[in-house]
Amino acid sequence: MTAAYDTSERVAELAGEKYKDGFVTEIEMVRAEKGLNEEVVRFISARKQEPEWMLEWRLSAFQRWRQMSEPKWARVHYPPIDYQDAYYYAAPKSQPDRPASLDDVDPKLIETYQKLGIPLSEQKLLAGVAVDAVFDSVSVATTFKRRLNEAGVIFCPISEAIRDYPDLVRKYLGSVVPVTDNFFATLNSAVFSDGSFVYVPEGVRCPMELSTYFRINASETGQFERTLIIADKNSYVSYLEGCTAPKRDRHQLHAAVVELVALDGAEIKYSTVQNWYPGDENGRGGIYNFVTKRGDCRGRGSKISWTQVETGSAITWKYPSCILRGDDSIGEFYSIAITNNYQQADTGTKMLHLGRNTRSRIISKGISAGRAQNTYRGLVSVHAKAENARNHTQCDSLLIGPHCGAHTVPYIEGRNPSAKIEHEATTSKISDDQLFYAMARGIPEEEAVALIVNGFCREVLQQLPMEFAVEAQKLVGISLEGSVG
Amino acid sequence: MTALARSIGGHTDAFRHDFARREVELPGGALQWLQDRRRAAMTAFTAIGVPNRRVEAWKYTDLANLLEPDLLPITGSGDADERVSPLLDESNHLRLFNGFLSRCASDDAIDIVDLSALRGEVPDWLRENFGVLACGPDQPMGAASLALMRGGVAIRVRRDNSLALHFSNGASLRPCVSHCRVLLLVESGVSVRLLESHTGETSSGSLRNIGVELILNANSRLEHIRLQKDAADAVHVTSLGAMLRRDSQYRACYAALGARASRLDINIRLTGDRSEAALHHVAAVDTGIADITSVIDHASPNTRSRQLFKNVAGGHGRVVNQGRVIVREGSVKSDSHQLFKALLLSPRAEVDAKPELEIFADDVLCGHGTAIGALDEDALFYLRSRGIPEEEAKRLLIRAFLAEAVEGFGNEAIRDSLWQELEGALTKAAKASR
Amino acid sequence: MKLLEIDDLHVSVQGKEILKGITLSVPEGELHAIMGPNGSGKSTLSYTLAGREGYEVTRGQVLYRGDDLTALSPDRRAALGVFLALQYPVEIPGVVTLTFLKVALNAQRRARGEQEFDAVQVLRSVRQNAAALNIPEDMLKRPLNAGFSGGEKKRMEILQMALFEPRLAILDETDSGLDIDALRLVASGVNAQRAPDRGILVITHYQRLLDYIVPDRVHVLAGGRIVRSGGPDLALELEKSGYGAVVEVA
Repeated sequence: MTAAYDTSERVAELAGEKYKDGFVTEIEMVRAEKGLNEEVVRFISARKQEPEWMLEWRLSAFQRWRQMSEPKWARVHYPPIDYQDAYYYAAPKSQPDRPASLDDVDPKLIETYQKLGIPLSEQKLLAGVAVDAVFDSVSVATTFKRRLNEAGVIFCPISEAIRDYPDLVRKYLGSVVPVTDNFFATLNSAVFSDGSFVYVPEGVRCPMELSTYFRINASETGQFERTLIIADKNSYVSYLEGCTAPKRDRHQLHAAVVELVALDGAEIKYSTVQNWYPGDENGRGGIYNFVTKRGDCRGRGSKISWTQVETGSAITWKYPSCILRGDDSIGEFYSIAITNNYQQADTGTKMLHLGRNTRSRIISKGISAGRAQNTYRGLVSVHAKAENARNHTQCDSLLIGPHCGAHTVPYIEGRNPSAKIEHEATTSKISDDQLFYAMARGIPEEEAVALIVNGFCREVLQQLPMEFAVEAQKLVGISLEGSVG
Repeated sequence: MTALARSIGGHTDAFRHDFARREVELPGGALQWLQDRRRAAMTAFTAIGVPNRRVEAWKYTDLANLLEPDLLPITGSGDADERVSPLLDESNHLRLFNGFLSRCASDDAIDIVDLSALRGEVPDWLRENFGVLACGPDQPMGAASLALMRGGVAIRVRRDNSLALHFSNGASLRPCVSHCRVLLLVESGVSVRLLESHTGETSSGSLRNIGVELILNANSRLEHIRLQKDAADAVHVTSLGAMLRRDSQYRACYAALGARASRLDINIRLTGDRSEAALHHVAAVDTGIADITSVIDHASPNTRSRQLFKNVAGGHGRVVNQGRVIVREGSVKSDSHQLFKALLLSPRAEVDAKPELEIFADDVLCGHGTAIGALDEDALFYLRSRGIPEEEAKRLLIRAFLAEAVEGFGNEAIRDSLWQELEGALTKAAKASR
Repeated sequence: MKLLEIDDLHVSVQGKEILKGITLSVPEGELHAIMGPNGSGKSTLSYTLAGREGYEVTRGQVLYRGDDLTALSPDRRAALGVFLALQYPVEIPGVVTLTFLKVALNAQRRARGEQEFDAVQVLRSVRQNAAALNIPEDMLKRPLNAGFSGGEKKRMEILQMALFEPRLAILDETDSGLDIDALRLVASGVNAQRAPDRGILVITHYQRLLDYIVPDRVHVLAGGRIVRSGGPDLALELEKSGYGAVVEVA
């Protein structure tokens, strides 16, 4: 039986439940002093016991950042951010910077993740999924490390990788998203705290799903995760991230950088279920999710596939992209972005076709309800040398209610006569016919909407690993609560 | 200061100085209402300046850097040109030479005012409608054309009619700039066909800056067929603003066949219930840039828009298609579709497309599609297997590709003359691609 | 008690009166046919009974097992046992047919306070009914009605009727667009579901469906009113002399 079959009823079960991950864990924290200056950058680096080169890297990013300004081109509106009025590092006091084993992890943290549905204790681990749990600025636990090590796969917090695998980190860090890429990426380069590092050696098919679970807990604190995934020749890895945060009245900044490198014949599948606190129904509070994600199909015949389900955050600014450098490489972007109440999302992708016979596929489903604004922004660029490049883009928007907005801003650039680029977009509301039909079969309105929207998103949901498709479908229903009737 | 910044400041400053120095000498300088609108236009223009690629809407056509550093304003028509329009002449035949009305043959269903000679009494319809569209900060060059207007024509059509408007330019050894305005007011219930054509002599990089206002009153119809074929060294910018009142219909077929750069910058406001706009565009270039950028604003319920842009780029040619469709809150049952297609014939040719949707109402049906590629190999093979030589087969397929956008416009004679021009441009594009 | 009692029903759509005083009752165990020419108000009647928005009851009432139906939402009516087979079943892209059937069935059961079925029970029940209607397994795995042929869509409607076991079924032009084999299949599906506690209202333009589904009563709808009622013979008379004659006599 299909996944869709089993989960529709869970959508129903969960109707009536609002943002369920909004609780706060009471735990003593160590913080950097408030604000951002060179001392704070040094403090973070020292906390992580980083080598000198890493500190230099951070400091030069910080110098650069001070001369940069926030990008203004996205269709998102927010009051000016005071970068001095936030904390850039926060970690549980009980947590040593390098957790020796799961037994050393503070029971309060174990309990927190338990509540989020992410069991960390050995007996209850999700079968087949290794988890790196990041709490504010530090990784608190990584599961299945030994089993992965046996396969030769490195999966650890990036702070650990900087100490233990400096050559790999130095070679690849900043090679896909340069330090000076954009305002938020540069900020991240200066103050990044934790995130995951993955290296899959040549010819290895990673034996399990890897996942990182990001939790913001501390108030007035930004989270600046940094993730680096390298798939060596002919390897394969599937990685998934989840994110939640407590309900708070004040906005919090999340500025992550994710870099993927796929060498010859390698494949990386990267999935995100983003459920940061979206703010309340009046637009108070919620996470500013300003994220730079980019994959480099560096090798011939490599493949990078992004799948994202974006239901949370007050503002989402994010464009997971693929540089199709290697001949015959493939880039994919599958996206669901749901905005309700006063949420704003400006999200999409860039597909840069540099190599010959490169192919890309984009499927984007945007759903807007309440007073939300939802924008797809994307670039497909075929360079002169990209013989026989192919792109297909399908970009659909669904509007629920008369006060929301749905926008589509694709840039399409062709410089090679043998390339084929196709783009299609539609915008419409849920059809009255469909809603009536479902209701005439006994399905209540809110559930009917969730069902139809799940159908609308099906092509994207199908791309998610089974374990997470269920979670994502559930979220679709919950996110749209209160949007009809 | 970088060279880039200097040249940008240069044109904007030059336009501003021209305005400051000659404001009262400009046609209609003594008319207070016109002076107010010109000043507002100048303010709108200076907010943006002559746009460069950092202005989002001009990302693909870096106008400031396509212009010669010094442009001499054209202040008089000089000798009238007697060349005829490449499109078939209609009974009401107007000519503009170097941006000045030079010849005018018309019947009594049409009121015509020469804008270079505006003074004293002007008719009410002119005062009410002139200088209202194509002059905001969203069309900075249109704003400049109003502020710095030296000549042009205002037309009111009171009965079903057809007219031809032919723009031409004399050869010039220095780069010049002409600012020219056109107003066409179609009265309620009237159907009009407008043939517009642009040709020109070698121009040393001159800028033709034209602002066109089309006002369609309730229940009126306007069919607009436009052929733009400037000299290969000319820069052509037309800013077109249209206002469509209740139940009016605007159908247009634009052809862009050459210039160093041409930009048709369109802003259509569907302000009346059930108004409709259909824009068809064909471009065939072997060098330079052919840019069409449209904004269609569904500002009323039950409005409809259709856009079909077909482009062929060969040689070093570049085509730009941008289209933004806005559906305002409350504009329910808006129905909009845009389709951009482009064929690249050469590895040095380029296409840039940006079809945008900006939707603020839920009960709508909007979509767009873009397809960029080469000629269909299967079709080409099929034709060749039937004994048709490759070049001819390609020509057939390209013609078929463009035909969809031209069909149904004008009459057979008009279409024939349009095709003749298109074929000429296609032949050049094919040749430049070899 | 009558299963369905319609009394002096007036219905307007977008301010225009379409039904102008319909009085009709269907007792349990009976199958009634409503026949009428195009534009007579047949579909308006079926949408009104199912509770579609925009169909405004301006006068009269509709009693279903003694209770007023008109204030209820479509899903409440379905849960109470009212089923409408649509003339044009709607495509719902991306929603797998089997999923839809399960969600609908359990929503109805939940609303009635009954135990929901698990996946296995639903599948068993769907398969049984599907076989009788010659609906292949792979159709159940495809998105609902998307890409189905006209005949497949109509059979899917009858499958739903069999699955939901309604007390009152309204079949709106279920015969339209069917070839003779499909018509027989659909008709035998309907006949199989005639039962002493169930009423069926068949709405049709043509008599040919009534060769296979023999009604207890036939009503002729024209201009928003029932202009004649009679036994099965009325349908044959209509077939012979056309609507014009019958409407005129009335």
